[in-house]
Amino acid sequence: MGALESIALAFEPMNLLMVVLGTASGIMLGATPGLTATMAIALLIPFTYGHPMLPATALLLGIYVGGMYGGSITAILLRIPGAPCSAATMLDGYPLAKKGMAGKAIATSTIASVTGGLFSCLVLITSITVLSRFALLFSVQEYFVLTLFGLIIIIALSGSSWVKGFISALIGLLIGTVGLDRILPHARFTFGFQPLLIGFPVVPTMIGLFAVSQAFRMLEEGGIPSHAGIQIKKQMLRLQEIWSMRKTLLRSSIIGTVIGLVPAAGPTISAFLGYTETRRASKTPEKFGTGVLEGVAGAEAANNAVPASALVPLLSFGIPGDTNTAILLGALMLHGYAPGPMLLRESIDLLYPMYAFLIMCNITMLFIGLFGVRHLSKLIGIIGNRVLIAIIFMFGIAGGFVYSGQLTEAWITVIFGIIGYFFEKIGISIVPMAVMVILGPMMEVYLRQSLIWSGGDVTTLFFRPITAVLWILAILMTWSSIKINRRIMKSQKKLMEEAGGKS
Amino acid sequence: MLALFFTYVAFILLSIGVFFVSRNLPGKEYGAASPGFFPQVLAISLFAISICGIIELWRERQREGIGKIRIHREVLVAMGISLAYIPTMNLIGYFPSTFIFVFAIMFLVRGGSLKISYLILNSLVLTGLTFVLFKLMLNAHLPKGILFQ
Repeated sequence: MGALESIALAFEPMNLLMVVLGTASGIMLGATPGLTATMAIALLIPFTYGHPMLPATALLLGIYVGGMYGGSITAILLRIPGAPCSAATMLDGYPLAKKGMAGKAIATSTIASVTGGLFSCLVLITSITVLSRFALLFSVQEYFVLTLFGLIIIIALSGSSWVKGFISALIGLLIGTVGLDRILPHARFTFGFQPLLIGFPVVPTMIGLFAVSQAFRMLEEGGIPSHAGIQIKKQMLRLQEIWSMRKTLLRSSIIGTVIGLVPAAGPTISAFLGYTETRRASKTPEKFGTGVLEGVAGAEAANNAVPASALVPLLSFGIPGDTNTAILLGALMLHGYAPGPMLLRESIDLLYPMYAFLIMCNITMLFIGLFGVRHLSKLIGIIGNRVLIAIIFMFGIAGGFVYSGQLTEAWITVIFGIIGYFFEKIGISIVPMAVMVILGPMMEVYLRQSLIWSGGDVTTLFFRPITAVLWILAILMTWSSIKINRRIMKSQKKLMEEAGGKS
Repeated sequence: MLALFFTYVAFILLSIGVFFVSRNLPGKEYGAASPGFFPQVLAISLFAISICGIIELWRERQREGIGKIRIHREVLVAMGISLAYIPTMNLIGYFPSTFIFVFAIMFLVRGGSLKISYLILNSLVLTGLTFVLFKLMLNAHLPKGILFQ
């Protein structure tokens, strides 16, 4: 099938409907404090079970893109970030809302998000072909180094303690070893329990870790604050105002795209880096935190440039860089696509529609953000706490087993929900575990195949020309990511303290 | 934190268990390619890192004292309800068990209206909605319940 034919498929009515539905649902869920894009994707995967691959992908990409943007709405209106990455938007968004300019702040956030999103889409489209050709040079040794790099950087960026990040990743890797061995057909850690021969299924595991565990936390916190009574005035940005932010939009889009390419760096780092760089470049940095449109634009463009660029490692090397792309990969696997380097080569018919979906999601987001966000905001307010938490529990647990009809998967969902809750409670991030549940089996196969081919020679993992380059790149990128992360965390803390003082 | 200490101890025990189970997996003659090789590497790493965790915790304790973790009663009850929901579904079927489950969860949430009629109506609507969605639209297999088969 040619590129044009593939793209034409994306414009079929069903796919267009899914783009709109996905983006609107993503915005709504993202705008609900406590519900992140990750949780939204995990919760809505069951709705793709009965659909062919293209509409399913359209829906999931819509949720991913919309969820990233949605968090900014509550950050602006309520001073409660819908997602952690929206905390930077809150710094100037909420003061603007207090001045009666909530509509203008949301319009800025929308335009910046769409600019960042479209910019990184262009980077994705241009880089994938080059990177996938480069990926053809890779052998199992190189892929092992790549997965190991993913592991190291996820541990390094997982939080305040690398020990906790490492433990979480190791537990994820151990979970990935359960089931039938992928090289020699022996059952491992199943203890005679037949349903575990296929291992822990990815989707129920992810739903448990991200949706059910979050529902337990929401129950503990007593739900979410309501924003039913908040009125948003319809305020549009003038072309002159948009033009004056062009440098900010471009700078933050570049920052977000680059950060999105680094595994595990994520939208929170990107948004704060975008915000601090905008402030640094401003002629009036002292006004930041009191309600400056550029502050909102700087954070949002950087934040929303992440989704498309985070797809680059997934689509070129078959390796998910963060939890969102890990869950997307889980959904792709559910529809018959194998993870790993063959993902792109075997699913080229999916690639062009995917580009089209990403662009369409951003355009849909523009229309919803500019014209429909006031109505969506009211809709979220109608759903009470009780109903919302019950919906998450119900869709989480029931959604975990509807695909196979096996109650074992419902057990897995609940058990991982409990594990996720306790891990977060004792300060162990579940992100490394979740990513390693998917990356682990790949990593093991690459390692063992490398050792079989080299006759047990470990040096093959270090001294082949491409592996050596990858090691150097991995060390440099990990080191610089840790440095940037520490700097961002410090400035984030400082900015939040300042914002607290100003409000 | 005592909870974290016990978690590390549990991970140490888990790593020992994984190590010995993997040692006894067949295919040892394949060396690094054997099914037990990778889990053994992971078990040794988990053991070592858990020890590091205990040392880190010990240092933190001397600096900041012992912190406590409080788990709300509602969360523990919700965990119990969630675990009970699955065998109940197997026993009495999807619709009645989900109705009871949703009602119980909504009852647990603090704040807002606690009118029984409101809870019953919402539980019925939500259960009906998922039934229609899963059964009729997604054609999923939902348990009928051993008692009603």
